[in-house]
Amino acid sequence: MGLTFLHLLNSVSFYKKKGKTFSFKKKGLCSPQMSAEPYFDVVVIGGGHAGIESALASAKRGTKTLLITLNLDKIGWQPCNPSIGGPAKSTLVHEIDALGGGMGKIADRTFLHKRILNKSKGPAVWALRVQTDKKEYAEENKKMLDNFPNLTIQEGMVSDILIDKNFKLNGIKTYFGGIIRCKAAILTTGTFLGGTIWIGSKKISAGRAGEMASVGLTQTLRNLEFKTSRLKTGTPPRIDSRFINLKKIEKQKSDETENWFSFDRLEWNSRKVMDCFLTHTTSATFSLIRKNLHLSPKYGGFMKSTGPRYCPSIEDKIVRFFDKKEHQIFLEPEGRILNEIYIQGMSTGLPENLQTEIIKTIPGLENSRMVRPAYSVDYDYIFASQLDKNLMSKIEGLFFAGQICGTTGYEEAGAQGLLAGLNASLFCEEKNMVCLSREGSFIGNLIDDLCTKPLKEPYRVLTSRSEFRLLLRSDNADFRLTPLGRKYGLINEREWKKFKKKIERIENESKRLNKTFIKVNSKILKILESEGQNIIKKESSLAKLIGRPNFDYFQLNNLELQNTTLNNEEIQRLEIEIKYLNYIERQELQIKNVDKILDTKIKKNMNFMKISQLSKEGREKLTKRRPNDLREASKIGGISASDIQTLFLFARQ
Amino acid sequence: ASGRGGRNLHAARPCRALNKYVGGGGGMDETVFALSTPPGRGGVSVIRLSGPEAGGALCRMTKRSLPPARQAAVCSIYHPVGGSLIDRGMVLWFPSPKSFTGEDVAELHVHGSSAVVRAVIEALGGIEGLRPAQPGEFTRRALLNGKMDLVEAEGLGDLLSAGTEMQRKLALRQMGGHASQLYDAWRTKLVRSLAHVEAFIDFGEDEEIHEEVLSGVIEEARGLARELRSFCDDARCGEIVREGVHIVLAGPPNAGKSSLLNAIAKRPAAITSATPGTTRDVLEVRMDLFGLEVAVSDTAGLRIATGDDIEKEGITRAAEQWSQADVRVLVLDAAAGVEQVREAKDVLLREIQDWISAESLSGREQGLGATGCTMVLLNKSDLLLTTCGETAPLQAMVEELRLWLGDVGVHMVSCVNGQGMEEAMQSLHTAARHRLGGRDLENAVVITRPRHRQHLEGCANALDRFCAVGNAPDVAAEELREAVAHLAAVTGKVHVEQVLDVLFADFCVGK
Repeated sequence: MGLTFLHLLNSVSFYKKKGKTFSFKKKGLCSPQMSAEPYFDVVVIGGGHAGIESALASAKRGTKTLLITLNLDKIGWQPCNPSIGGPAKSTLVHEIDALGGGMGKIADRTFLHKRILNKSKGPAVWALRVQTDKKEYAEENKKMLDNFPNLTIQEGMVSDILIDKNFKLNGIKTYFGGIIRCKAAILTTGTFLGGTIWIGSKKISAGRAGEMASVGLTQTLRNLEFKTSRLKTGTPPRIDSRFINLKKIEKQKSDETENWFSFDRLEWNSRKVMDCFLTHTTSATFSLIRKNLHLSPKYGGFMKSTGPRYCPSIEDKIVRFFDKKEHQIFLEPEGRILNEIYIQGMSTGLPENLQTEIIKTIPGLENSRMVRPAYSVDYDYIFASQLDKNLMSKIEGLFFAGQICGTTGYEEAGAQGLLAGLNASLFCEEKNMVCLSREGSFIGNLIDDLCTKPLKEPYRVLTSRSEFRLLLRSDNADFRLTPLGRKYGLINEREWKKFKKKIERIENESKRLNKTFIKVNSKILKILESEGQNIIKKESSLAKLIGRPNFDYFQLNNLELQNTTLNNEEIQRLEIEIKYLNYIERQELQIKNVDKILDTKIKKNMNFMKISQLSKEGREKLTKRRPNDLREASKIGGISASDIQTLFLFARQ
Repeated sequence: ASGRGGRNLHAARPCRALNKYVGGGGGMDETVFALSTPPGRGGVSVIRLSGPEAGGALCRMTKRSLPPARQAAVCSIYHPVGGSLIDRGMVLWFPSPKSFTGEDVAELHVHGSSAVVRAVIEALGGIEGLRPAQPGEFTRRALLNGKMDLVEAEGLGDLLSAGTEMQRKLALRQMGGHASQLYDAWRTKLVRSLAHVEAFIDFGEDEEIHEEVLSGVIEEARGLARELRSFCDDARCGEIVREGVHIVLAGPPNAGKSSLLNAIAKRPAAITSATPGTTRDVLEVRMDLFGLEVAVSDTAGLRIATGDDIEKEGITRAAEQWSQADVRVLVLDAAAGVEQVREAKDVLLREIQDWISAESLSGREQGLGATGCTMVLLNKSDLLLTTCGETAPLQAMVEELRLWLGDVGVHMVSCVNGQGMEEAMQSLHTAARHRLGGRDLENAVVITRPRHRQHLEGCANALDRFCAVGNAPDVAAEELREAVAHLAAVTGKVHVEQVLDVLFADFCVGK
């Protein structure tokens, strides 16, 4: 049984500081500055999902942390669908939780509808998705930050980053003249940096509807010669739940199953659930959009940037998939006491008046009232290949996380935020920073993709992006990451004890299953055979038995061979490991092979500039950084897996 | 740039498969040169340069500006340092990217004298930034610059070493990209299948991507596995043409197998003597048999070994060769009398019965193929009249053999006076062609390398496993990914972005 995922964990050892160049004296973590300017070790700029995880991770380690955001009332706001999880995204949330993050816990506290997706597609891709109450979600986040030790929150618009002559960050400046000194800062500006929102051909400067954009930082980043560009995303309209004709639409009930994001049972909070609804577009929707296509930004030709392919506008769907008679429309509540309904499947760039009419063509929504129009937003992001895989940029102490790195989604943002927060804190302590490998976690996979692949659209995690999908599951996220979290102070004593006990129980049970044999001609065998399908010709362990496709752990109950000390979650995990043993071993072997390659040393005099198979950028970075081995090289931003293969060929000579 | 140029190549680089090509080291920023015609005396020798400095070097060698692209120019060639005249010749200039390597390429056509060539090579070596090319470096650069893919590069290698007409045609087709087209078509199909499975997993819940998608993919995978298998079921004829048809001469000692080998090869390749058991090891001679490369093996005479261990080992090896041969030639001593022929007939009869039973098991073709690839040569026909006198029983035996092996399968020959040799050679050629299954190798795409076969079979096996576990999409997808990886090992890497491109083109996914 391969229960040892610890070898997948990967910490970096080469980001050693070359001697102290800090301008201030080190007196523990909270050393005050000589000047009167306020001082924090880490400043997190932005209070979205990346910012929250950054602040938590940093503060949890005892680092004096400040979170500064444009609007304190909007911390943890869900501007699009107030939904957490889904395929691959749920794995990210479990991983964040396994590293002591907050997202899963808050989602478990505030959900109002939950479903297990992909139930029939095999346990490796099962995915929890919950609809949260967006007001509660934001409030819970704010509460959590408010009461967190070592963490201060403050309102303000950061407009400049202060650096010393060695290109090391030493402070930030706000629009209205505030100066805060710090050793590290994490930029998590989301859609706010130079944000512009669009409806039809009209646009206005804003980060989200009704909220001002952040100005000034864009120029700072340009001055520091960061390569930036624009990305676009959008959100569909909201309608009033009281004007929906429920008789004409299909009800979608919340799943009854006990599934949670957090591995911490204390967070599990069973509560009353709400229904979602399903309806569809009609031929009237189709012809109305067709007729007015020229009014949409894309087909009217007044907005060039294209949005993400997995989030097409309704006009895009109708143009590109014209032979599809109807498209599904999901109606999802946004809160318990909120009358707002999110219309999933109705993203549009069409003008406001048309949006109202289009909604009315949908069965059940004939009398609906639109309370918020759909809009698009485009904003500045930086090419993440300028970051190392610890999310620090070329400016020492300046980290980036979330949508500014080119992603979309709360989960993707939170995942990066957590790592950036951890590394910013480690940076302040002059300790080695952490990179997560792409074969060890979806967080690692996400960051590796961002730092090495060209971006065509906002990046969303997909299970298909991982070469190791059968290993990177939701159920084993804690096994893969909690020991790392513990090592870096993100997991407290209680959580750690609980985790160790869980491992112990599963390992003992695994031993028992492998050592308990069913003998030929035994009574148990007779029972099994009398049940039909399970013909056993030779002595077989219980593990082997469970490995059969038509047998599951719970059938042991009938034979009185079960173990009552395990809970369902643990049983499930064990069962997956047994049933997938062959595949898991196959993928672990692949990882071992990759790992061996990474140990290859690079000669001191290797001339990277002559390896023309590498990108120009990659050659320059390698020349500047001079990694000692391929493992170090693989952490550098812009160095992809295929670059490593190439380097391997040259290093071996 | 075209779809294959520049950075695109970087993305589509078939990393794993490139190992052997990137062995040489050294970057492509350097300019390399090499003599591209065989060394030694000849009419013309061509020295080729490739890389960014090729143009500059050409100017310095000719003391003139670059000639028009791709047009021959006659000029004097000088030593760039001393300025002395080396030779008068012709030069060609191929600016990037329209050149063999995709880089700037220059060619110096000089008189085919080793002194001239040496002088030019020395002169080029003296120019800064130039270095001699490593073996295969021009092709390697062409490959890395996307001028050809791996299969085409292998085709070029085969063409350069083609010794026979058949090999030339086969290599030319492969280099021309016909094989690549076929492989690419499969790859496209597979990537599409994978995209559909990934779509089902990642977007199935929201976007009405139902089980039908999966069953469609399983259907497709089944078809593809079948197609791959039937493509692989080609009796290895492409590899045989490339490696040479293996013909084994076997028979009792002193039947004249070695003499026959020498007669076929038209040179004394094997030692012959009147002493039985002269040949102890297997001796192989490669030759062009009417446009087909064949490797003829002479083996130790088969008998209940009375000799030493060396002869015993020789006999073991002979038996091994016999069992692996593409074409089997049983050589008998016609003058040794009817007994030997009858014994041989019994042996063959047993084998043929095995073939026939195998035939009923695994289809006609194999059995028929095996009989069509076996010949009997009755050697020493010149001695027949003098020693035996009575030839009627022998004739009867020959007729009987012909019942199984066909008229072309049995010949009376003499290595001494050449009697029947011409007909026997023709029959040998027919048998060799027969071994290739009578396939139209000049117009078909066939597998030419075991490496390709191994991956194509690996792909088919993974597809079978995919179909078997199709109802569990998470593991099924792994099998499909493996199938793609196998095909990609032949044609070049498949990136997840390519899969996603298909996914988003084929499905209306997203909120």
